[in-house]
Amino acid sequence: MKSKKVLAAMLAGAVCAVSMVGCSGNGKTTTASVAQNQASAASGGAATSKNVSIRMFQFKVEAKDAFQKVIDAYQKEHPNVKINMETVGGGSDYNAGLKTKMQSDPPVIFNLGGPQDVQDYKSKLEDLSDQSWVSHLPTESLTDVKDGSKVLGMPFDLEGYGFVINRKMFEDAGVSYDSMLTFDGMKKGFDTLKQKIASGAMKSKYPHLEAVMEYPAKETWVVGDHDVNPILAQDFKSATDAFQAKELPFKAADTYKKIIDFQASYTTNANSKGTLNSVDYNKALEGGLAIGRVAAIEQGNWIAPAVTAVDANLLQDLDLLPYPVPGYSDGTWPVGVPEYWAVNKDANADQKAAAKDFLNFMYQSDEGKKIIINDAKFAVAFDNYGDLKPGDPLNKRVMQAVQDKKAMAGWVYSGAPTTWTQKVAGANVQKYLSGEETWDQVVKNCKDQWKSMRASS
Amino acid sequence: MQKSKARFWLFLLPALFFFCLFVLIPTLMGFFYAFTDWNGISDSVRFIGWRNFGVIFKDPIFLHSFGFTALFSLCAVVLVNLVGFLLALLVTQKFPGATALRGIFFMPNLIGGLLLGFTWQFIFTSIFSAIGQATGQQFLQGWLSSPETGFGGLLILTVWQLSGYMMIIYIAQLQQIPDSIQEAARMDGANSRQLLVHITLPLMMPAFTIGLFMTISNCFKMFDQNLALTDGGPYRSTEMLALNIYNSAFGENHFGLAQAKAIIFLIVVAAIGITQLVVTKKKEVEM
Repeated sequence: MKSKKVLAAMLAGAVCAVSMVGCSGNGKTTTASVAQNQASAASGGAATSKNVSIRMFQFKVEAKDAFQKVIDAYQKEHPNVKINMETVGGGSDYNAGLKTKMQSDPPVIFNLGGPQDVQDYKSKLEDLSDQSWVSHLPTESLTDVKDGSKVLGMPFDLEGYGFVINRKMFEDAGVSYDSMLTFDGMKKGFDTLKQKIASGAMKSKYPHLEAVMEYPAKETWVVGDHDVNPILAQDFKSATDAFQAKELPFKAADTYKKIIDFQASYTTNANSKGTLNSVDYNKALEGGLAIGRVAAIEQGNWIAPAVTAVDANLLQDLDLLPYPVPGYSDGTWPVGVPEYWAVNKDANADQKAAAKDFLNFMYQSDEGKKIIINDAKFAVAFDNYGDLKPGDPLNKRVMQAVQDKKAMAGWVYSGAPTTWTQKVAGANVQKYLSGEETWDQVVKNCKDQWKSMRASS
Repeated sequence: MQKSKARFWLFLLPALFFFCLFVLIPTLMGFFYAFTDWNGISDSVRFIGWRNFGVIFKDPIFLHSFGFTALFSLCAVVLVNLVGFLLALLVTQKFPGATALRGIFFMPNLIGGLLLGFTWQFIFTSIFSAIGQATGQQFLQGWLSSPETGFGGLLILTVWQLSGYMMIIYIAQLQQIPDSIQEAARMDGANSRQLLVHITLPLMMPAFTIGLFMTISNCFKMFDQNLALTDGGPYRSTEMLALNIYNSAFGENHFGLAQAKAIIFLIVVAAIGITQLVVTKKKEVEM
């Protein structure tokens, strides 16, 4: 009897393991609603006065409050529209969440990453090319979200990265920002600071400073996504280019090694690089740069809110150095659109009209613009923001890079085969750091896996 | 007779309904998807026969994950039950504070796996290294940065979390062993060790059956602790089966493949569990 009970319990439990797939796809629209959609498209798709309720599923935790502020402002003007925002943070968590949401209870507004997402969700994406904001964007900001002439997404913001430095520390060590705009200059500057830390010259002013850099190799999005992107950018012009490539040339692979060795060598673990595999983002940012334990980390403009949370005054002391790719491109910042807003094609006509109107309100109305710049602290690609400019040095640097044409494509990696950047490139770099693999093996694995992942998808 | 049959179904139906809805139907659908190339998003589901299963057995990462999970489960099952049993022996002795200790040992069970994972991550990476630095112990540095320390970390966490629960099961069984038997043995001149080996352990077998079964299935299916503590890192070396399946489904968009892995997983866990039940059941003795 007891064994029967146990057996039953076991079956129930084990069955949970196979029931990971819950629901089947039922995203097919009925003919009637398709007809209705077409009818409304013909009438211009303007916002109606009927009561409409929209669900918005987004991933940017940092901007949650700002978005809610926009929603409140919009609802005040359009009392018949009700917008419910749901936020699920972090890249991969969001994707898993969106996938299940799409099966059970599809949102009207949601986010898309790169070309792979566009491809995967193509049948659910509303064409936005007739929207007025399209003309205010540079064409390259829409390259990766286009299908022929159709525009399937609206850029979220502009993000750029490079080496975030504590400018003041370097200046106190006698190193100027302008002297570090190239790889050689940066190396010289970092060496100078390293010496001064070792000799104790920085001790009195910065008692916590223990190394020039921290390198969070545990985060495969740092050693994978970010560090491989400038390398991929030498092979491909855009994420779409990368997406179409069956094989990876990887011509700047030697520089990938150079920049990894560079970063690792300025950490406290320079002599036991494998240990870096357990250093995470928090230790590098909140427990590193933000408390003055290190003077530089490879990161981007999105860290501004987190830095402010630890030390509000520190943000003004920071600055963003370019991401050098010695021998290929020097003195440029990877900048791009990390995510896009998309509207669900299968929603009803009123919902779609309201969703489009809301997105336009968010980025194009005077009220929306102010919130996007001041509250969400975004840098944007739109050309009609006039005097509204981001206030912190990191965002300023990113905007400046775009204006001076000193930006390289920042999100080429989103065109790599799904999970290649983190589970292949990132994981292999970890193996390299721990001594498990030689660099030649890393390069070989990266190329081989790219090819086989393309072939199997 | 007729009436009791109607009543039988009346009581069974609600449970049966939910069982079908949440267990039986998803399982059957899962079996179906294992033979397709569905990516989890699109409406197109293509039937591809056994191809997914062929891919699985050639996938070095899945095979590694399988080996890792098996080794981990073996070590964890032994340690969890051993520690659980020893704790049970300890707190059933009569000394002040024994009851309080029961509560304390059980407590880790009340904390969710994710929270535990993140807490222990902090302990391993920050506290361990701080202690290591202070005392000059090199082996405390860089925990979770290599496959070995990742394995050790998972093991420590699991033993810490599960042995309290096993302790409760063993306490219940220990208290069921009548004093008269123990006294009789003592009268016959058995010492403490003989008492434990020849009287207590055989009479504990029913509890071991349950304890082993629960730990085996729990360890094999471990997911949240794995996700929170190491997330498979470094370089996917500590990725256990459940996490591997999750990554295929939600990371790589290979739902069909993930489903096929899950079926293999189910068969293996069920086979090991049933074998263990049969074997330990045979060892149970009647009082």
